[in-house]
Amino acid sequence: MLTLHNCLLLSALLFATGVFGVIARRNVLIVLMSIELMLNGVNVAFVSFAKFYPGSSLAPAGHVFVLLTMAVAAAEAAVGLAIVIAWFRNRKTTDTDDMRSLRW
Amino acid sequence: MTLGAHDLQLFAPVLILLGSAAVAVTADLFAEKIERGALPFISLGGTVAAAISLLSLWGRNEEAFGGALRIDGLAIVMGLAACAATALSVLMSASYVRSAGVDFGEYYGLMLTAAAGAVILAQANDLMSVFLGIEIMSIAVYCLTGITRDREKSTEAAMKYFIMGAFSTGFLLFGIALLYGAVVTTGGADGILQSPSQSALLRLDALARVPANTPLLVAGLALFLVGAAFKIGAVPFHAWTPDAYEGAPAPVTGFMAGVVKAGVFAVLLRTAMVSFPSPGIDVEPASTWSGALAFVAAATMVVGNVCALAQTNLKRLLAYSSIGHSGVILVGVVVASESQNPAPAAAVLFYVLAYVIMTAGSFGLISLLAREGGELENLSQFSGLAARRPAAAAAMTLFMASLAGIPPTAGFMGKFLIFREAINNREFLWLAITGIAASIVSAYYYLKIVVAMYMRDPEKGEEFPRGDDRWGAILGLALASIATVALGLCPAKVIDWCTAAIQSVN
Repeated sequence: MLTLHNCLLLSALLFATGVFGVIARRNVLIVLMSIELMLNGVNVAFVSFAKFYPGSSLAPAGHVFVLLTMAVAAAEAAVGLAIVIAWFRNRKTTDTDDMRSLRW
Repeated sequence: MTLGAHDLQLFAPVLILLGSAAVAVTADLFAEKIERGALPFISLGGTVAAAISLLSLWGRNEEAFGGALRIDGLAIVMGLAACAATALSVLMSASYVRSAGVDFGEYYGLMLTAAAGAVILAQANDLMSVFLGIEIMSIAVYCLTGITRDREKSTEAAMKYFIMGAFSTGFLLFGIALLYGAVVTTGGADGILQSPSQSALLRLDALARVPANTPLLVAGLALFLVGAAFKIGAVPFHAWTPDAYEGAPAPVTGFMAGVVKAGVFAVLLRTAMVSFPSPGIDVEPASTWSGALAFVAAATMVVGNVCALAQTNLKRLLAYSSIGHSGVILVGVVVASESQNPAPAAAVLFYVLAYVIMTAGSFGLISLLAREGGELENLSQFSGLAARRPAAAAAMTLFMASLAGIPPTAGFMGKFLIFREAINNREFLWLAITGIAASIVSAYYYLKIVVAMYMRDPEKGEEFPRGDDRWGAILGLALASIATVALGLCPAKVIDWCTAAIQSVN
């Protein structure tokens, strides 16, 4: 059933999957993908709140926010991949466990 | 809502910053190596122009873009703090980036873009501008952290900062979505928010009308605070701070410490005052929010200052010290959210101004002493600095005294104002005691640096680079030193000004 409750459940599940990926996975690229998954989980929440707005009309602020989130996520992914490449050129690895030149 | 000249006039500071960023980037395309010397002047001019246009908006107290931004005293003072940090960092950067081989237009362009993000944050009056401001600022700062892309430490710091930053953005955004949901599900039904403008649903003051015990509001606020705590390096979300601060080039570290804090604390302060105003009684969201923040503030002060004790790398030490300072500012925010009186919030503004200046100064000194191969980072490398470079050692001593909170400096005045307000509010006496104890502990590691500079002999073969031609860094350090002493000796005018700024926020 497409209710607000179920939509939010889907959103929370997507978000939690992303959080788990960031924490548990060791490959930088998969970590980046997990971050995208988190943002997409948030988008589902925005859209469902906008759809189930109890007022007289739609609540397009939620839809607009989703468009902005996607634009920002794209910018973030571009910068993130550039940083991965810069780091890869220095270290020849994409494993987060190899980030060891800065500690304590 | 239509976009008019009125909106653009209020938005002018941001437009000036973004415009000069574009000029810096394009100028570089057409410039020969020698003409790159003009880039710092362009950036400095843009920052000063933005600061002047901010000042010219003083007293307007108007909203722009249908309420998305609000230009009041809080926005102007925090915006000026961001501009001050940017101007000082540009001065400190000029010679540093040239010797590091990264004096591109993009360097200055990114700095100005991040500053524009912080100014947007200072003015942000709805959740969408908060999100956009944080992202404009953060994405530029991620790039700046890794700008020296052939240094492993720099790229690793950028990588860590990016992952933690993007992760925290996810939390912040989920929090914003739930806060929006709280307004939509409650406000819409009651018809309070049946306003013609849909953007009213995202306004910060719409949150004040949501019933206190709405689960979506509580969950949203918690996630929002987690995201914000990441950005300011509050415990337990501080782990990225030392790595990012150590790996980033020194002028960038000084810049991000100041600008990011000015932007995010502006948002926290505005949220405390507008979204969750305390009506003087124990209303659930207001007291949960300040109760949770109070514990975060105490933990941040203690962990930051205690971890700094063991550090031997100066940039890392200053990173932990910046965590401690975040804690002190948070104390101010907590007290401000529980008080009707403008004094605690004004103390926060004063502290942020002081912090921005003294941090830019201390990292500027590290930039001044940097040489072709890298930076002087280890504490032992600073041994005997006073004998060789007395002026540099004296400036460093001043900044350390200010960070430690020793009179007559800006840092002392800031701590005094915040802790006085915490003591006046009986409920937070324990926070003031924790903070003062943490400050006493912090004096040990700040003085350790002074002792190394004045009482130890230089390490064998240690040559302190002569920085006589680094006019930019010298001018920046002179300005920062004068401001540090001036804010400490005659703060009354600035305090009055901050109080007036807070009174202009409804």
